[in-house]
Amino acid sequence: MAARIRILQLAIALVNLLIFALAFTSLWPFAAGDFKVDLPTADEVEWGYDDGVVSVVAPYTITNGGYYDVADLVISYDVTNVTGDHVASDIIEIGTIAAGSVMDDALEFSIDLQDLYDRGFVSMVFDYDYLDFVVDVSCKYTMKLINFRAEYTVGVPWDPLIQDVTVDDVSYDIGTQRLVVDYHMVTSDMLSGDATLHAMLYNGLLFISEDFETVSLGGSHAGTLFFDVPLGSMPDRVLFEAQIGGFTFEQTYMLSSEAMP
Amino acid sequence: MKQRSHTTDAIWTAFTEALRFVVVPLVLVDLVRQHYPQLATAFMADIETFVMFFGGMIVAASTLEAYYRQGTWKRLLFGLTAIGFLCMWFFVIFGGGIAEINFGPFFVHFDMSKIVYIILFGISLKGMLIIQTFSVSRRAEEERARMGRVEHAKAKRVQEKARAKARAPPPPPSPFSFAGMSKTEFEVTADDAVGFAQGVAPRPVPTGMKVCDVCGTKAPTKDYVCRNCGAWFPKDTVE
Repeated sequence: MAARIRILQLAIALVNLLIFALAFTSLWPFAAGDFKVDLPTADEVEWGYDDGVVSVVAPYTITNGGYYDVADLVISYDVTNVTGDHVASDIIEIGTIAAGSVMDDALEFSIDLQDLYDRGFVSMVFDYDYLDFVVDVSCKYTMKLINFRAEYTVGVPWDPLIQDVTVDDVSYDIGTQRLVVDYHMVTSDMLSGDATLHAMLYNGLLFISEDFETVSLGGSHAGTLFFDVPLGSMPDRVLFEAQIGGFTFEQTYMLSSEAMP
Repeated sequence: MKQRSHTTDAIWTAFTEALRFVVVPLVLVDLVRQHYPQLATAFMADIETFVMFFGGMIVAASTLEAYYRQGTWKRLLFGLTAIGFLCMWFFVIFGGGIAEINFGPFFVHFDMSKIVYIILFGISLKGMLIIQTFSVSRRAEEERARMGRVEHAKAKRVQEKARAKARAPPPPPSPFSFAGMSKTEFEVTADDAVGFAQGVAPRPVPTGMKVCDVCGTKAPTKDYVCRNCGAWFPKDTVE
């Protein structure tokens, strides 16, 4: 009789030992940091722009230093702007990461600005915005006995494609009878290449003169515009117009009456 | 090896179980709450109350289990109760296996409920051991109880007998018993005074022996009365 109890005791101890081993090997990698999910920070997100399409690359690393394979790994993201409008989203099914391996990859997606523009997101072209990235990583561990889900929300400031055109100085050259307008234009760092800035001088609705200037995109560009203005004309505003990335940018600068002699 | 008494066993069990399931867990829970305030489980808000309640129940049930002998129904009942409370305690401590951590931009949802259920299964296996121990010890316990009953019945019978003996009237005095004789002093009349005369030829008797004149039985010279017929021996024959 006592032997039967002893056998049962041993069997229970053995089962409990196995359960303890299972629990320990399942939890220890999380506690010890052997299982890590490094999601991209705002600084690590890389932006690109090409022909009206913004490309985003957000690197991430998943380290599976545990004893079991990571299964059913799914990464999803959802991007909304400051007003909560949906900008982009996707679900990426990765599958399995073998035990002891590291997965280095990046979330890559694009935002079609033209599409957004057409949908009414004009502000993203011309105004500052704030994009909320919600990245969700879910997976199963220890023979699918453990469910793990990490959600990471990061706010990424969005710079408009064309940020500003500012007139720095206005003077009139009596000798050449030209109005000289010093300006600078700031465009998003995502942009590159050149664009043509078309500036038109008006007096009310009356067109007076115009000038074209090639500006380099990406960052700040300073330049000077020259308008042929005969003495006696009274221009009151400059209308800047530029075609950048398929978008037409317009901005009006009001001239003071002291601009002309 | 000296066997501990059940009371000592129970006290020791109460002490160790209180340490294991109340004191140490409360300290650990406090440390975890201090260092990881972002950690949330289903029972985290009242975790101390839960630990004290279920831990206290485990201590009480285990103490009573240790107090009662193996093979008794009470020990089985309290043993299984302790296992039940242990499962609940474990479930509460681990928040049902679901933990959420919220720190800064990160939110982590960790669901190990299946592992917790497996652990609970492992814990509840101890219930089988309790049942098995009970069933094995039950026979011995029943035998012990039967022996106890027999001993008790025997003792009771002896006691009853003694009591009945004490209650019974004294037996009638034997005609040869001194107890039935009068306590009044009287003077014994000499034999010769009543006309008794010695026989002519006394029979020779062995040394240290004498012969009863009434029944003729031989008797030691120190005897006053014949053991056969109860007749008095003459005074001069007693040495």
